[in-house]
Amino acid sequence: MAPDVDRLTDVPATQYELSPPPGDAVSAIAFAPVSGTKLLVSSWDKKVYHYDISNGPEASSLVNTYEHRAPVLDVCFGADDNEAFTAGMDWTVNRLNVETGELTPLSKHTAPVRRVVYSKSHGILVSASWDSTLNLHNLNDPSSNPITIALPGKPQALAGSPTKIVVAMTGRIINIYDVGAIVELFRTGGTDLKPWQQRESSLRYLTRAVACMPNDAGYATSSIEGRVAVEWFEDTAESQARKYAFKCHRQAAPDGDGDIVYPVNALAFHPIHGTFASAGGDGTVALWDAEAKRRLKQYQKFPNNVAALAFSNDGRYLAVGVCPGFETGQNDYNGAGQTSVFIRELGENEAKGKGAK
Amino acid sequence: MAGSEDITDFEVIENQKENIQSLPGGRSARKLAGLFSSSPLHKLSTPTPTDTRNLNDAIRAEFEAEIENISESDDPLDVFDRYVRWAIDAYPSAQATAESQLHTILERATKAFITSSQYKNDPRYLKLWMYYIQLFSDTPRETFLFLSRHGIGESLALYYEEYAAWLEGAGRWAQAEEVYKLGIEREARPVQRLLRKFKEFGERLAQHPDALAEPSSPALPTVRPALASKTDPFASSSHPVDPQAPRQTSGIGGSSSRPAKSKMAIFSDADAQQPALSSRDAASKGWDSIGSLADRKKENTMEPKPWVGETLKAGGRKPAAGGAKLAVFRDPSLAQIQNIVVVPSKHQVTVHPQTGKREHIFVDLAAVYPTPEEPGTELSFEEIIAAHRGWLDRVWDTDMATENYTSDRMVPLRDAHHLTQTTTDQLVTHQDYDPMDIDENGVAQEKPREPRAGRRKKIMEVNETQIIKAKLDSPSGPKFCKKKAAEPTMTIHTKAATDDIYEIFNAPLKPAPVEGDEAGDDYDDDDDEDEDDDDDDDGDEDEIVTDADFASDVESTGTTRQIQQDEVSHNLDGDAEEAFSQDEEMEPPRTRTIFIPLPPEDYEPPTRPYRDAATMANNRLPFMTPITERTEYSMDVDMDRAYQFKTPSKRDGRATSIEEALDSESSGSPLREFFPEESPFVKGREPLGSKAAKALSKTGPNRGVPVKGPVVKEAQCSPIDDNIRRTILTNMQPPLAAYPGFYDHHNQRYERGGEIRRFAKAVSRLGKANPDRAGHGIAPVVIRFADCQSRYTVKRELGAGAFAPVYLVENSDPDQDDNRVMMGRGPFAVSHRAAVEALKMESPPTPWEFYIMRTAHTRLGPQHRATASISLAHEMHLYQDEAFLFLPFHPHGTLLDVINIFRAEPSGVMDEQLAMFFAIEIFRTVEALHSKGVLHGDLKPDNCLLRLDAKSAFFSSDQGLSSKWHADGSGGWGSRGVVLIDFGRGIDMKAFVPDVQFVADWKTTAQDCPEMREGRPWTWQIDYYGLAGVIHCLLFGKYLETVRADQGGLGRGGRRYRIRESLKRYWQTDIWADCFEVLLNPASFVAHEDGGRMPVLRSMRSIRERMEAWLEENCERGAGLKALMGRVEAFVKSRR
Repeated sequence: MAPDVDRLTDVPATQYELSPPPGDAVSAIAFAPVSGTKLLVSSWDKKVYHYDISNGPEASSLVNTYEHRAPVLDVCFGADDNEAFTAGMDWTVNRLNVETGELTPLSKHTAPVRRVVYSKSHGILVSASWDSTLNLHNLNDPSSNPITIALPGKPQALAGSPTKIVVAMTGRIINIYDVGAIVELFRTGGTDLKPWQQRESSLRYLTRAVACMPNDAGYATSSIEGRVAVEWFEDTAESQARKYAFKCHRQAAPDGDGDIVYPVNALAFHPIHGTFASAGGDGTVALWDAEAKRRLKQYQKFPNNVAALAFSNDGRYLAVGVCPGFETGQNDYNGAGQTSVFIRELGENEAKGKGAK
Repeated sequence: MAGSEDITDFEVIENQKENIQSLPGGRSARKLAGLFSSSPLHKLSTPTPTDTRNLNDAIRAEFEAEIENISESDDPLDVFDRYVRWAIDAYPSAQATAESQLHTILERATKAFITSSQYKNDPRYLKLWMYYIQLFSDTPRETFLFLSRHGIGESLALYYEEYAAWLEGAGRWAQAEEVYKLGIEREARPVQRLLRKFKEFGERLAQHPDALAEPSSPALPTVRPALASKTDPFASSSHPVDPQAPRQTSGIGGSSSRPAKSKMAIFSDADAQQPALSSRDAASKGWDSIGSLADRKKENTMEPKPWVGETLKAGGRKPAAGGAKLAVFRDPSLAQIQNIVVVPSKHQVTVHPQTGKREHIFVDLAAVYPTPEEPGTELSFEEIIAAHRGWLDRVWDTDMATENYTSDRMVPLRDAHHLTQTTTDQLVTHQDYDPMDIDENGVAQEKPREPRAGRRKKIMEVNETQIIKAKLDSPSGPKFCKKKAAEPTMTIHTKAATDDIYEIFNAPLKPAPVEGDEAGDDYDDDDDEDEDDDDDDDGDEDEIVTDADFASDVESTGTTRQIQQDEVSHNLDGDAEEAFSQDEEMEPPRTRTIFIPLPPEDYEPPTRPYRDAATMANNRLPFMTPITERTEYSMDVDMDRAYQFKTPSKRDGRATSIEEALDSESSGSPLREFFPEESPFVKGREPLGSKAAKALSKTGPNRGVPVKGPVVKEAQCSPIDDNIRRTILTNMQPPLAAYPGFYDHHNQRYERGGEIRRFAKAVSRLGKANPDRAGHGIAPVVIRFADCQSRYTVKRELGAGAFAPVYLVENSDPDQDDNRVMMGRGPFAVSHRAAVEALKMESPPTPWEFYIMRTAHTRLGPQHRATASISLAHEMHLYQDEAFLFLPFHPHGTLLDVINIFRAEPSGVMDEQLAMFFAIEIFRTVEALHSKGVLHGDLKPDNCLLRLDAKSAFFSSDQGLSSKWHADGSGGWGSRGVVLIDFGRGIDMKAFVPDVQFVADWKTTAQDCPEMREGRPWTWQIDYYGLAGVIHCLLFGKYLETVRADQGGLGRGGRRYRIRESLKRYWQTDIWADCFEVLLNPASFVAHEDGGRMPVLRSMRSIRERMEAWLEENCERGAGLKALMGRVEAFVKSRR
């Protein structure tokens, strides 16, 4: 995941909207592992959109769309720029050939699949479904069957670092799996995978998003109640003592009476600087320095709830998926016409932490 | 060889006896001998341990294999029985040797059949338990209780014998006797043996004559459900002597009689014993399992962990004091994931404990946490939306071969919920891979969910919620079915089904299907209509048919009812629409909301308890009320809207007649129409359309012409409605501007409110940190007014209400002002301006309080005794952004403070004489106010300030207080009493028609009168109830709570209330009882009044006179009223 090319140049920060936008709410955004200008956006309109932003803001950037049977809940890239995986409402984990648009079902759950994550270092694809299971796919051996691992709760967020997979579930449970153990599992053909660690969420409310630090040191979680927690993997007292949580994505109530607390929908770590961005229901994106415990930047409000975030592999672009928030439980939710994907080109040091003092 | 077989060689046993554990039932000598001389060749030598172990391991493996197949066994208990017996025989010291694993076997055996009814009364099973208790259990009593809860051994004498024996051994004779008796009563078999044992027990008991006299708790206490999981931790320790028992002093007469018992034989119902043991119902919750021994002692075992990175503590030095506190053991396996229950209603808006900041969670927690009590059932937004869109119900084709990796699912360890969940999933997996569908009982399969318009989807959300809940329920339990039964409407959700129904019943009515369709939507709706305010916009007829009865009544009343409904809905519809259209035209910006005042940015809501030490400092000064006006203003747009539309229709739903609903509707809507012309001092606050003026000219004859009689003609209205108030203020004669002391600058802004607030805040902060030098270092704020010579220097904040902070100010020029006010105008003869006064800053500015106070004083006149008991408004400076009301400063605190003085005393309440004194004072004042048509509207102890005038306007108290109290106030008593403050909720009844009925459209609290709380109209009751509340506080030191004293039923006059507390026997119960009777049920006393209507002045007066008569008689009884008064004064002065 770590980028091999550093092509940061001194380009002024710009922000523009991709056109045409997805037809319904954005569920996930993923940048390609190599090119840095290719991105996939999964949407509730059953499609995955493939954009290429190398031509800049002026040119239409939509390359292709890939129609699925049901709303697509997550998308991630695989080993190269032409391989992607999607997770959908249709219980299926698909392999998507970005070039040809060919969809191959990889495995099937018994409920919609919420998230997929690909571990490049080991060629493992993990999918998390609302049937409270993980499917582990060994992509190095295409003939093998996926292994299903039961979870103690319904997974709602999933993230991977080079050596760990973090699954955040309902009931405030967070399971951390060791990728090495998964590889071992494939080797032995076992079916029983114990979490490397099981933790209690540091946040009081339902976990909304998880993201792992690119340096494999820890992860951040966010909840539906305007809070982000940063924790470290290392299970030593001093490492655990470093964990913290902070409030964010809150706005003064219009009647002046206190704050309105928005959900934090997405988290994304900057692949180079190790800082991370959080996206909230208040329509803002903020950049944070996890080490220094500081906010680096808060971007201007987007017109709607920010649902998804992604940094390009070189850290040069930040893609922001904006669509109406559905957190108020409204029943006629529809993101059509109000959904957009913004690309923000970051300045060289825009996302660079100031360093701990 | 044969001979040696027959005769057991006891020498072997004798040699090994320290290794043999005695068993109650004895051991087979032959087996023992065989065990210790396994080899016939070396009979006398000990067998090699390895031999034995190998043999035993083999046998054990056999048993384990048998247990493996236990589900196939006819008598599964038998396997365990044999296994245990073997273990006991094979390991003569089974308890001591871990090798035997006897305790695990016993635990497995006992646990396996807890719920089995087959073995409940099987002596073998009970014996296993008894082994467990004897050999291993650390808390025998708890285990015995556990058995009793589960009805194990209920009809076996063994249980009672063992339990009683244990109790006896623990010295609990009474409990042991109880257990025996219970066993005999239950005819536990064998009865004969039990009786014999009981007889023996009786003999033993006779040697301990005092044993039964010891206090004892029941041997088998009833389970208290709330504390079910909490067992008596002390009772479980097996002390030889009951620790609670008083130490026996030998030689108390030495008689064998039982004096203590015979002295006070408490009747105990024999039948009542029954539930104690047979409580296998809901009460047995928390007794579901008794933890295994290892589980119960797990805090004693250390979890092994790698030594890597561990530092060994070098011995010798003791850790520093304080560092080595006993760490409370936390069970990591369970406590690691704590279930934090998120209660949507409670957590949606929270107040930060430190900053007092309110935090509104934007997410609808009720949607995310549909069943907060069950951990792990929360839903992500995606799930909610997917459910709304119907994606969760879709079954996706099973083209993928899934069996191979779904069948070997691991069972999650979390808890039973998940276990069942997974089983459900598994079951489902084998059928058609659709958990959702099965959970919905197949109903939803008929019609896949699709996004539907409007409210329909709301319904789906609720259903969705229940589905997911049901998913976690046991798939086989009866609960599952019950859930379904509670939600039978699923099938008629379909439009076709609803139409069918309406076709049946509404055949003659042409438009019925349309109506019906909507109604059909609604009647599933009632559980979520509360949270679902958007619905109200849809119009009124929706709500009317929302009536839950409708669905059930359809069959019985059928068409008739439908017609009725139609009429009503048309009528109401018309009304509502009318009101609504006007409403829309006239007050597009929802003017109400404008009046929700923004608290100053540094305002800190009083979140601490009222008697908090930190607030005490403020409480010492007057005007400190935990201001409750907040509720009055706190209605927001929704409330407002609800009042227009929701309330009337709701009432319809609440089983009142439809007529009444119409009634309230028609009386509600004129309120909306009522728009006064712009009054001079409210100009600019609210834009009024020309339509408003037209409406006004239509409705009110009060345009510019001075009106005699009531200004407000409405028969029913909210007295605090701004429009009503404005009307009254506009039409009053003489106009407000003519009052001396009223300075109207309503079109100017004063712009200094923030400065004053900041100053007061700074002073209070400084004062807290450094009480001696409070206020130093900050430039004092001086308030000047253009048309008034006095300068006022703000000293500090006296009380911080949400809307009206009160400050202590220094009047630069008291005398000058005094003269000016004194001149001419009689009403203000009591107005002595003082050097120190109180300033109430009202924001949003309103002259209302000033008006009510002045009105009260004017109507009473300066000579009226009650005038001194009503706070006087010195001056009012009205600005656009701020209103400054200058009031006299009463430094003595409130009645609440007095009540609290006495609450700190051992008695907890003040003496009746003093309570009577204050009661008379307030009664007199309220009577006087009422006689002049003024309602206070917010009577409570903290709005009654203590009045201890140094020099009264009427009576000189220089001669000191006489020890005899006089009703006429002579002897210095007239200068003691109370002053009513805070007339912000006051009502001038003369502005309303005599038969006016008020409705409270604000959120009521427990301190509001029952009429208000129950949504019934009220008038004078507000003060009667307030007065009752004050007197209740005086008497009992706690807030008034009332209970219905009638038989229930409807009807306006029918309801009767009484106080929950009972009056003390030595009080003047007849006076107090009558007092509360009048105040709480004033409607019953109107017959004695002029015109047969309230106020019930005569009844009040007669009660006051009875009080006065009693107090005059009895004021010197005991410590005496004077002494009590002296204490109050001393206290008040000492703490200043």
